[in-house]
This record gives sequence, structure tokens and C-alpha cells, in this order.
Amino acid sequence: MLFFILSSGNAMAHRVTVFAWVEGDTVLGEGKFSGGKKAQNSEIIVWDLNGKERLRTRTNKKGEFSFPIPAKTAMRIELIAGMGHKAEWTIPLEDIDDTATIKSAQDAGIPPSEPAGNTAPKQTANPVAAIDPEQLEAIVEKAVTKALNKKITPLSKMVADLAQEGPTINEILGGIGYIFGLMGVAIYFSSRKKKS
Amino acid sequence: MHISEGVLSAPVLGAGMALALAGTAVGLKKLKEDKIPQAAILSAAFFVASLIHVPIGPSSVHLILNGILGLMLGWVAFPSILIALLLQGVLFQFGGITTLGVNTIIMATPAVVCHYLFAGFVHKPDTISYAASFACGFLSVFFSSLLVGTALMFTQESFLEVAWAVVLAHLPVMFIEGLVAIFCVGFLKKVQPELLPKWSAAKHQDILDSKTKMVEKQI
Repeated sequence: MLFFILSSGNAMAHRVTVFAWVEGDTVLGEGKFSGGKKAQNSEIIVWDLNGKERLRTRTNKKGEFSFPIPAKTAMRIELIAGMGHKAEWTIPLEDIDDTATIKSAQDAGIPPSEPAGNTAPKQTANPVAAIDPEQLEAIVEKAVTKALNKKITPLSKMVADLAQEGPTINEILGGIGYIFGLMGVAIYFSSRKKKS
Repeated sequence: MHISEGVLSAPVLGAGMALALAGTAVGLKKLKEDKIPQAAILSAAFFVASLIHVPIGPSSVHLILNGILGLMLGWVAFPSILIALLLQGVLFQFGGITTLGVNTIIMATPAVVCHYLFAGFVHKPDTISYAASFACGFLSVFFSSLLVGTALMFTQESFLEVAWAVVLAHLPVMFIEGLVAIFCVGFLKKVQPELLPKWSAAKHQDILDSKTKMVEKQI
């Protein structure tokens, strides 16, 4: 009941959307109503693709949520905002696969990479030989992922905002056009009925 | 008040679809040729109305306009609202295709009910017709809220809780809709009263009234 009073302002929206992305080993996401209002305190249910429920959480005051990746499967994230508002977002297996392998690479890469990093400046004459290629790969991969994540997160958010934008003027005018077109069709048929 | 896809169970969706089709069939049968443009314009107004947001306090509300649409059109409200909701669903992703029937019922049934309740009062003197218009705009949204509660009752939440929450959330809209209805009826009465429902009956009544007055005067 309290939940409904809190979210009563949400009732006027037409559509709720949810958007989520993977960052490291957590899933971040946000829910929004059309018109830009945040979906506060809405229930989030995470399913895997076999329809098994993985976990439940709630969005915070900013309409954001996060949870650790529960399992290495594709996920379907469902947002329930009450009063008949509901939205879904699917995170494909590839997204999680990537980060999971990177994570294992990090696990393998971090401990040996530190001594390697320390030794590298001393042996400037022959740095390539000092670091064996596998370690180097791990370091580079880690750095690249970190940098990429930094760059990509704002982009992901931008895409989310774009996906959640309200109807454009083209769509509105198109809809009105359809209605008047239908009016023409109706008048045509009724005038034919009259003639015959 | 658009119920999203995947919220309702299949029997509710099916029942909504069947009832909406029946209502639309009745509406199309009652749609006379000279009413087609009016129905289309009101359908377009309904289609656009939900995009106009009126800020109230921390949140904003949008117009629904099903009251005034029903008042003007009666049963024809069903096809008009169905088309408008279909386009909103396809173009804006409001509601959805599977929930189209249920959403049509939610919007159009109160419209028809309000037509039968209030259309007879529109051509009465100003105070009565304005009061009827306000009640029409107000109650159509109120009935719609109750229907949302009814539709959701079968799936997840208890009727009273949902209905109460939806009514509470729509209280400001009810007042605005009432005022908009007064404005529309007042304007049409001044400019083109023949567009309002039951015009011929009201005119007939007027003639009868003036005749009795004449008779009274003569006596």
C-alpha cells in the first residue's frame, strides 16, 4: 500500500522502460518512464532464459539498480512499476561471457604482473624479454578493458536515454495522418453504400 | 492508464479483446456518415491528448479526454478510441497490441456510460449543462480508474488497493478533465450547438416549450 502511494506519481506515465549493461562482474541498470521520470522503488526481477528466477531487487531513488552477475547465463531483467506498468531488458550471453573471461584473465594476470611491472623500468634495455608474452597480453587486456569501460559507460547511458525518449513529432503527425486517412476510407465506403 | 504487455493473464486479455470487438461493432453500426469526420477529429484529439503533460506539484499528469469524446460520440467512442490506442501502441509503444482490447474497454466503456448519463443535460440551461459536463469529465476518468483496478485484480494485486491507488493518482486529472469538458461544451454551445449530442431532440423540446409559452401567453 505504501509502495503505491509512493509511486502514485508514476501512474500517469504511459510506458516504462528498463535498460541494463554489464560492467565488470556487476550489472548496472536504470528504469525510466516516458517523459524522463525515474522509476523509483520499482521491483526488479532477474530471470535466466529458462524462466528460472535468479534474484530480486529494487530500484533506488534515482531509478537505478545494480546486482552482481548471478550466473553465467543470459538474463532477462524485468521491471515492475505497479498499476500495469512493466518492462523488460535482455542481457545476452556474449556480454557476460566477455567480462567473465576478462575477469579470469585478470585473476591470472594480476599477481604476476606486479613484479613484472616493477622489473620493467629497471631493464629498459630489453623490456620485451623481461615480460613474457602471456603476462603482457593480460596486462594490456586489463588496461584496455578498464579504459574501454570508462569510455563506454557514458555511451551506454546515452543509448539508454535515446531508447527512452518520448514520441517524436514525426510519429505524432503520422498518427494523426493515419486517423484522417481512415476517415477518408470510412467516408468512401459509406458513400458507395449510398449509391448502390 | 495504458496497461503494458505481459502484465495481464490470457483470459483477461481475451475477454477484453472480445468485449472491445463487440463494442466496436456496435459503434460502427451506429456511425452515421455525417458523424465520421467528427469521430475522426475526436479520435485524433484523444490520440494526441495523452502527450500533453500538465505539471502538477512534483509529478505531471496528462489529459485523457475520454469523457468529452464519449459525450459527443456515444457508442462511436469504441472505434475511435480503439484506433487511437492502436496507433499509440504501434507508434509510441504505449500499452501494446495484446492489451489493446483491455485498454480500449478501460477507456471506452466509461465514455459510453457518461454519454448515457449526461448527454441529455447538455442543452439545458447553463448551470445544469456545465455541472453535467464537469461530472462527465470527472466521472469518466474515475470509472476508467476502477476498470484498471478490475483488470489488474485478476492477475496480481487486490482490487481495492489498486483501484484506490489509481483513483488517488488520477484525482488531479479528474478535475482538469471536468474543467476541459466544461470549456468544450460551453464553447460548442455558443459556436455550433448542433455538434453536441441530442441536438435535434433538444431543438424539438425548445419548439414545444416556446409553443406552450405562446399558448400560455395567448391565454
